[in-house]
Amino acid sequence: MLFTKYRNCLMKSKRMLAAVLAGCMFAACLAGCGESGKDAEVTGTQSQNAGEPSSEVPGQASAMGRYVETELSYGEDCNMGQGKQILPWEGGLYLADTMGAGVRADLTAGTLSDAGEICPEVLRNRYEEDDYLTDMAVAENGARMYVVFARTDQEGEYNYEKYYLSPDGTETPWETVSKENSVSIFYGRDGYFYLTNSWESSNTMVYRVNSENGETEFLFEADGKVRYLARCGNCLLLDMGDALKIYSLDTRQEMEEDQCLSDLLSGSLGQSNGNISYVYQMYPGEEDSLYVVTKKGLYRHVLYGSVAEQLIDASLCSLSDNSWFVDMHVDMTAEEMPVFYLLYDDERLMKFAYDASVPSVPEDMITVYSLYEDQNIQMVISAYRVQNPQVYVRYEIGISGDDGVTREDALKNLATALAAGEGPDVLLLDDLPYHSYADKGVLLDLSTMFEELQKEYDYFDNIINAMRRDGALYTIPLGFTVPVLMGDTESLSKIQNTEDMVSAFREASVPKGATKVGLVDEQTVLQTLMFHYGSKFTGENGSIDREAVTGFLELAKQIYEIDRENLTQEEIEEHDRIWNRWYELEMGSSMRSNQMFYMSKSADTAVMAANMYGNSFAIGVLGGCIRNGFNTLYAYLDCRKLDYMPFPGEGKAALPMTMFGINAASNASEHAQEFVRFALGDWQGQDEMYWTTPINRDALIGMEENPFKEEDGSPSYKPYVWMSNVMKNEDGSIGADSAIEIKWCTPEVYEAYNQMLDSIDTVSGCEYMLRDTVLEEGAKALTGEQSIEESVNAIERKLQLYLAE
Amino acid sequence: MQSRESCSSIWRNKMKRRYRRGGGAWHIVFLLPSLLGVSLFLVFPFGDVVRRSFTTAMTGEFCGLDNYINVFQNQAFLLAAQNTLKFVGVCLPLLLTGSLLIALAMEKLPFLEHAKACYLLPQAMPAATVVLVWRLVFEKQGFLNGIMGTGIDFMEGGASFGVLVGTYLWKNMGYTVVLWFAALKTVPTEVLEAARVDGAGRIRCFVHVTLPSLRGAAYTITLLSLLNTFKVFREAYLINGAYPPREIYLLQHVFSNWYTKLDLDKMAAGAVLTALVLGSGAFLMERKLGIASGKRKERGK
Repeated sequence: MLFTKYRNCLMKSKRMLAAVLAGCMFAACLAGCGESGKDAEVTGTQSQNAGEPSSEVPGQASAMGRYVETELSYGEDCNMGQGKQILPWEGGLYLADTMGAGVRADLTAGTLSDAGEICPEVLRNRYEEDDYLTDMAVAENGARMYVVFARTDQEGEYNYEKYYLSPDGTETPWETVSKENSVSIFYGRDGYFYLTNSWESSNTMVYRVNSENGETEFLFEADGKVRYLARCGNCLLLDMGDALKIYSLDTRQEMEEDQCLSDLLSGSLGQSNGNISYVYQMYPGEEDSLYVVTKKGLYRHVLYGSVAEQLIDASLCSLSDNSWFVDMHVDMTAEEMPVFYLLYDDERLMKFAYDASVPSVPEDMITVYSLYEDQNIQMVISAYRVQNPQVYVRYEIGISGDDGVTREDALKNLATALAAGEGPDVLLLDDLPYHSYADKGVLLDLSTMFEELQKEYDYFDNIINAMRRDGALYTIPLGFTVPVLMGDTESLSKIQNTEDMVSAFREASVPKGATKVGLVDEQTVLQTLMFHYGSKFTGENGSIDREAVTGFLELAKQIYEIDRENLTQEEIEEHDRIWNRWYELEMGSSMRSNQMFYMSKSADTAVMAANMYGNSFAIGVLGGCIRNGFNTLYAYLDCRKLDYMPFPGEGKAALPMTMFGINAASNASEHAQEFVRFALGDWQGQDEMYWTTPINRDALIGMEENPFKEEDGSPSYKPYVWMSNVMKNEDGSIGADSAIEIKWCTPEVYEAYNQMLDSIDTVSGCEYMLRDTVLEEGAKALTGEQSIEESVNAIERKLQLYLAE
Repeated sequence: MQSRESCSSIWRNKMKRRYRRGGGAWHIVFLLPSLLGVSLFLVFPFGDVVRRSFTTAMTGEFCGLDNYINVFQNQAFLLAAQNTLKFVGVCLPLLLTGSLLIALAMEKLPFLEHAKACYLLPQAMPAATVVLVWRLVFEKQGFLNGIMGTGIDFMEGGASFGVLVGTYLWKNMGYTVVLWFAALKTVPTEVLEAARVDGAGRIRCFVHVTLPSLRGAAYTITLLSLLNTFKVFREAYLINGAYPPREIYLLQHVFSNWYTKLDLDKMAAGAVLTALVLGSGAFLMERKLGIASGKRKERGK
């Protein structure tokens, strides 16, 4: 009886234990299958924007209050030179440039106007005498310190004259540092100029000059070269390139490291553009606090504190774009939160003011995706954020280069996201399998949207229509480039077809050691020619056109051989060594994208190199800004009486760049379309793109308008920039460096350019698989490793599977 | 009608008895987590794949058998299927017979049996390392050509198939030998001794006693080896990327590339077809080897 009772009890407890265990396992199983949470989702992607809000997700905002940015607009005929500093000035701001002039900001009206009257007479005189100021700083009392790059009595020799300009306008030479050496000048916003001299030794001497009376004081010698200097309380913060050092102004001794600040600036230290603009800025706050702006955001930090409080998230505004920071000003007189002003190296002055009525993170979000980093889209995103603070634009890069993600990995990740219905809203289709996406219904037909845009703007319809697929328009490029051939006018006029082109190359006479076309290595020859002839590699049924590929390789081989015939083996090897090093080390994986290759083959760079090396012809791609691109190209062409023309042969091709596509399954389709409309519409007229001619014809015509006027209001064709030009002598020696004048081109020149763009009737650029295979196998044919027929067979064999899939 | 009712009541009673004998509902409760896991990560996803095989890739519209027709008309898929079958057809017999012969030879050498860890070493080698070594050996400028004084690129053309077969055999031979060692231990020694007493020679003993005793294990080993043939894709992919020479273009290549290009509809249809072929093969093998041996055992009892 007792045994039965005991057994029942035991069985009961076993069942209970089993029930509990089963329950636990079931719960654990369910927990494991649960949603990973939005935080993990945000940090798990390869977003280009660091410092995304982790606690609040865009699109699900709850808290209110955020810094909102506005751009202060420049008035008519108001231009900024090389910006240097922002200072509070008579109720507004004064943006000084290195020449001592600058602009002043009316903070009430939010406009910028010329500040010529602020510029002291001494500096105005120097400006008129064409003196060149390499650096300058201004104090609130009007005192200045500057460095003049002045010609000496000796022919071709210069020195650095340093001056202190008192508040009453008296100029005094500052001779603590010898004239052979320059100095960098920083203003500490405490009434003192801080000067660093890294020229005399590997260490840096740091001096302090009182802005009131010009008294100089030697502070200390820092170990290493100083790239940037800022004051915080009674300390000086010195960017030594690899570390941030802190020196006490009281003891003149180095202090211990501020770990939090060093972490905040890691990756930013030492990055400066000619010691004028930086990827970060520091501004002294109250007591020992300081404000730090980086590409991740704007922070407030108390020196030696353990935290840096993020006030502005870079991913929500323009801070994360490509521009460098020239200077920051913090207006701490505002009632609640300080107001920040940031001057970028592209002359933009942005105001960041706290607005308690807007959500802390935008309510709407769109994601823009590109396989490789695209600098143009970063500019668009930055501008869009400013105009649409209610929409959060997230930029995702498939292959950032920071990790081991391969092309296949990136494409699979994207395919997974698209298949799951969580793909990006806007896709940049450059280097993506665009045709496959279009066929699968991934992309929205943009025809209706484009028709609406056409009501407002004029576009290069010849290029856009060439991109249609069965009448539908799945992609519209932000811009395009055109491969061009450059050479003397007479030779070019004789070229009607590819045979003429090869003959012209062959007959060209060049100095000793010079190439005919300047391409030299097999990869460059193939890739450059492919931009024009690549679109003909596949037939209508999608199979390889053997005849076209064979013709292309024959042409490439002829050009390759002609280009090298004047070079010795040593010269070829030297060229290959330099090119391979640059190709592999400098460009890395991003070289695989068309955009990065174009950067290296822009027409102005090609003709500059042709002048230097004495090549008869040059091949490059034409596109990009007018002011610094086309006008420069034309000046270099003009100095040797050269001209340009599109490639001969059937059809005139352009390569579309930054190709927009919209995900048909996007939940934010309206915002995505709005974003694309913005990029193709208003934005194109405002900014000049990298190596890309705008698809918006109105924008191009606007860019071609001459901004320089004579006194009577007529267009001025005086030089506005001087650039270095080196020409090869007939005997093969490198000539002396001379200056070349960059002037605004005449309307006739632009007319010819526009006519060439209008004659384009096809778009080039083949699929990546085709491109890579032709490059790989074609190179073997060019070097003689295998015959052209063998290369074509190999290309066909390799692509058979790709095309059969 | 009555007989049908009586049949069902008998079945119900049988199930009740089994249920009581098996400790009530608890075994079901304990099975539930793994059942959920299998369902969540295998059964339901495969169900979704089957559904997708009848719809378009991105729009999800029903398209009947179009995807299956496309797959059967797809030259890349047909080539890959042919290559995969060829690979399995060459590798499996070589591996199974080769490893069994090695196991039989080694069985009598006890010191070698203790070195089982060495047999498993190829399995522990990372695929990337193997590929690197293979490149050094088989490339045009590799060691093999250096020794032979030839200039054959073993990584391209027909030779690449041989390299891949060699890779598979090298990687799986030791592991399969270990499995055969374990299987050989289950051969009843008393039956072998009895056969020897009856005058059977070594070959007759092997054919009539050892081999029939190994049939159950052979099913498992064959199935594992078959599954391992699909794992060789890693090496093939690392050697030649997404588009290898035609001779080693396998089913995984075509699936991987379809996925990259978002050809999910074709991929789903191809996956269903592959699963059907593999499932049928496994079923037939079980009928021939697994169940047969089970029946034999029951008969023996």
